[in-house]
Parts: sequence; structure tokens; C-alpha cells
Amino acid sequence: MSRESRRREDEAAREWKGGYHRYDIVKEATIALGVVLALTVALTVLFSSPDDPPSTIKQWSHTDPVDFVATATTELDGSSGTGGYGPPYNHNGSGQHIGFIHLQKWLGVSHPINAANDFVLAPLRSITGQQTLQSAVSSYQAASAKTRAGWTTAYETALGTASATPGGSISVRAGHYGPVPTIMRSLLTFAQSGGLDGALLTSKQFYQTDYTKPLLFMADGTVLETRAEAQHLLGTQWGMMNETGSYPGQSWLWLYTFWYQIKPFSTSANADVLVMGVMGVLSLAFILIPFLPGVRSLPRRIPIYKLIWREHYRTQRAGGPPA
Amino acid sequence: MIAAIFNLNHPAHTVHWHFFTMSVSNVVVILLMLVVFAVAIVAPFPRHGAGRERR
Amino acid sequence: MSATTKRSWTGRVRERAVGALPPEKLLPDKQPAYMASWIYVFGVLSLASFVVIIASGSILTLKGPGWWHFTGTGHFFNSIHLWSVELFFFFMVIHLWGKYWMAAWRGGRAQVWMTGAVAFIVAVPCALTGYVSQQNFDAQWIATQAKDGLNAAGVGAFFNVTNFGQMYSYHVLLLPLAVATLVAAHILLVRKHGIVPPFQLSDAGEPRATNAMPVPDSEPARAAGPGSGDRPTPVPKPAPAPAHGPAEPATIPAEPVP
Repeated sequence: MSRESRRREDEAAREWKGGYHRYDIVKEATIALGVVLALTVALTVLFSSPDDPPSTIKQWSHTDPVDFVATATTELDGSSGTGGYGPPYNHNGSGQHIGFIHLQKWLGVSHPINAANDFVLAPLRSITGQQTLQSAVSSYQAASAKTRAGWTTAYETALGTASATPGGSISVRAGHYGPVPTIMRSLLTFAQSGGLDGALLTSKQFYQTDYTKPLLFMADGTVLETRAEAQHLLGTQWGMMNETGSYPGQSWLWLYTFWYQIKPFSTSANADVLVMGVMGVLSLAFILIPFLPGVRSLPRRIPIYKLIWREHYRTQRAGGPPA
Repeated sequence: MIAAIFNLNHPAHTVHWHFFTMSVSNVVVILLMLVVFAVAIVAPFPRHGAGRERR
Repeated sequence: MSATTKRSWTGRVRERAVGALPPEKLLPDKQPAYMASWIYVFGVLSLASFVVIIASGSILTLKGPGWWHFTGTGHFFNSIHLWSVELFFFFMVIHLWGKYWMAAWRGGRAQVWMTGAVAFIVAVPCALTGYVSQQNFDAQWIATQAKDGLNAAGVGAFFNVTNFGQMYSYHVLLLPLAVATLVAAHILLVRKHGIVPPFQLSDAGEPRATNAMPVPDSEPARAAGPGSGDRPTPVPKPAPAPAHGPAEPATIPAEPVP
């Protein structure tokens, strides 16, 4: 379609010069509101809504103490997901990028988290009257980086074959772990008392609303992932679209999750930023459809409009006035 | 609490088709959208009788 | 415009507003005769869903974010809120499909399309902030997953999905306000420009590129077939009335052009 013919069509479509019929806009809106209210109440009465209770660090440390201690040890030596994440939490990784565009790095560390200190050492330092514990923490902090790494690596390897005891603790084979077992036993006890949930929420002010630290700690372990897999919420299960239980989820996110399932996104270390980039471009294209050649012409070529306006065209063909 | 008539609080059944994996509830929602769209276009609309306005 | 109005900001704003949207356009009591399809109800159904979302959301804010976990009434209104969101997206997508296949941006209506598209796009994070404000397992999982996508794009530096306080503020105030503003702009633009007319068909039944309406005086309008834009074809004359009597027209004809 030439530009001139498109311009002429646009001019023709600006104003309707044909016939009208009576219409009550307020009545239509009221009926629509009634219909939607009826549908919503019906769906509520039929299905209600999901409310799976949240996981807590206290629960996690009781139900899977080995996983809790293993995660805490990776926080201590910085090898956890959060420990090596990079911005916005720390500088221990460069984050994702598209070519030379490193948005994650450029926007910087806005929510600093030192995994070893924030998740392990500082909460333990807040426990008073435990001299053995405080000595263990001091001797860990005084050791060289190489010595500390030796202790934590050996302990993580041993945790691979550890088991939970009936009393709620863990049993690890003997080895050279320095003060790490003492630190971890105390952290486990603290977590099982519920103290760690509160300690991770505390910061320099009384009122708290920021759950970043406890959430990142749990996400570094398997407690959330295990529940998510059972509910089909993992990325590989197209989980972004899903909801707990059998409820419909955010089905409008189908295209976001779609890209993660196919190459190159499914095997890329930069999958997140690539998908965000693709969706950004597609969203812009969606907004600009009126200006995109080909896309804007498709409705003309695939004449669904003939169904929509069939009454109008029938009237025209019957020789009626332009209606 | 008043319980729902249908309890949906159990892990979802999923539909697997090639590499698509979707929960049944999401598939139902999407199919329903397509069906409702088709019906909306095809279903006859009540024609206006007397009382038409001249422009 | 009086001299006083010309000097007055209020007067000028009023003149522009009333000029763009006189009362009979803002609240019309007639609509074009070609609007004879159920597809046209999905815009108002989307709007009605949005109203129910705001109303149920407002009730949820009355007793705070933890209320719905502990009482049947709270859970009831949470369910209303969830299902009205599902209906909102359901109706909005069907409305979008209908408007796309009608090429509803024609005739200077590009802004109508664009405000609608942006409203849809902004509604997605509005819903996301709601999901992460639920204070249950779903919120924990969605927050810890979504943070990776947002952090990777740098957005996580100032939009922290694991910060409940921030997300609740965005969800209850900022994003609904943004969606409401976009929806209002969208609707006012629809009222200003009117609903897009049908494609005009040539004799071959294909969309015609030009205005085939008779023009003043007796000059027949020039019309072109699709794609050419240059070759004029005659304006089709109305068919003679059938022998059994004139068919009941769908509308009253427009006034003949003088």
C-alpha cells in the first residue's frame, strides 16, 4: 500500500459520516460492572484463592538441617549464589551482559550484602554468654584466607555424606575443619530457635520491611526450590506462568518464560538479560504496531474484519446508504 | 473460613506438548480466551429495531 | 474565545478540553451503526474488571497486608481481587486481539493504540508487585526468581522485589495510579476520535485505499483498488431496491450531501 493511499485511507477513517443508532453508555458500563462482579463472586465461591504458608529459616533448619548447614557454609566462604552474585549485592561477580552492555554492573551495588558476615558471623556475634562460640568466631576471623578456605572446603565435602540426627542436629565425619563445626552447630541451634529469622531482618532501624537477606539465604539453599518443584514453579517447568496448586497463574507471562526454554537462552549464562532485552524490543514493537510495515497490514490481509463488520457490509451490498 | 466448592490446593496437572509444558489451568484459560474471541466475532449481535436516530 | 478567556490559563484549558471533548462526545447517546458485534464489549468489560480490582484492593488495604491470611472475610476479598485480575487480563487480551484485527489505529488513532499497549505493559509489573506482596510461599518464590531477571537488566538496583515495603507501596499506590492514568487517557482518546470505522471495500471485496464517500458537487469520488493508490475506479452505484420491497436498513441513512 503506497503512502499516498494510506494517507487517503486514514483521512477517510477519521470521521464517520454514516448512520448511527441509539446507545446508552452509562447503562452499558453498569451492566458490564454487574457482569464482572457476578463472575468474580462466582469464581471466588467456586475456587477461592491459594495461600501456601511461607517457609521460614526456623522450619528449614528443622526439616533439613544438613542442607541448612551446607548453605550456611557456602555463605561463610562466599561460594554461595549470593556470595558470588555481583551487583546489586556485592562486587564478587560482574553480572550478566549483552555484548559490551553491562547494565547490572553499571547500576552498581545498591543493596550491599557480605554473605559471610551478614548471614553467619554477625548473627552469631549477637549471641551473648557463649564464650566457646565467640572464641570460635574470633579464631575463624583471625585465620588467613587460605586456612579458612581449607576448613570450609573440607567441611562442605564432608557434608555431602552427613545426616540429620534425631535430636535435630547433624552428624559429620571427623576431619580438619578448624572452628567451622562449632560455628555451624551454634548457627543451626540459633536458626532452630527462630532467632536467625529475626536477626537477618534486623538492621540499623527498629521498623523492618526488607526481607532481602532471609529470602536470599533461603534461595541459596534448596528449601524454596524443593517446594517450587512440587508445585511446577521451576523455570524448566515454565513456572513463571504458574501458580501454587491448580490455580491459573500469570498466563500473560507465557512469552517471557518461552524464551528460557529454547536456545540460545536455555544454555546462556546471560539468559536473564537476553530475555529482558528481547521482551523490551518486542514490547516497543507492540506499542509501535501502527507504524510497523507488514505488521500493520496484516489485518487487511487476513480478513477477520469481514466477520466483525459483516452486518455493515451486508447493508452496503444491499444498496443501503453507507452505514 | 468458608471453604471453596472446588479445592484447587493440590499440585497442578500439566500438559506436555513437544517442549511446551503448561499447567492445565493455564491451558484452560488460554483456550477459553481463543474460544470467547471466536464466539464474540461470530455470534449474532441483536439488531437495533425502532428508534434509530438521524445523525 | 473572549479576550478575557484568551488571557486566562483556565479559560484556555477549558476551551481546549471542551473543544476536544464536548459533552455529547464524552457521554454520547448514539454510536455508529457498524458497531454490531460482541467484540465491542470487551473494552468496557476490561474497565469494569479494573474497577473491581481497585475496589477489592482498597478493602484489602483497610486491614493491612496480613489480614487475609487470618480471616474468612479477608480471604474472600483476596479471592475477589485475584479473580478480577485474571478477568482483567482475560478481557483485555480479547479486546486487544479485536482491535488489532480491526486495525483500530487507522484514522489518526495511533495514540489510542499506544496508550492501550502501554497500559497493558504497565499492568504486568503492577500484577507482579501484587504477587510478591502476598506474604506467602508464592511471594517468596516469585520474588527470589524475578530478582534475577530484574538484576540482570540493572533494574534490580532500584526496584527490589524482595523488599516487601517497597513492593507493597508500588502495588497499592504507584502502579495502579499509572495504570488508571493510562486507562483514562486511552478512554478519553477513544471518545475524542470515535470508534474506528470499517475498512471500505472495493467491488472486489478488498479494502479500498481511499474515501469512497460522495464529495460535494457532482464530481464522482476517485477511488483506487488496493495496493495501487493511483488507478481510479468508479464509485459503485447503490444497487436498485429489490422487487419485494426495500429491505429494512440497519440504520437511518445519513443526510444526503447537498
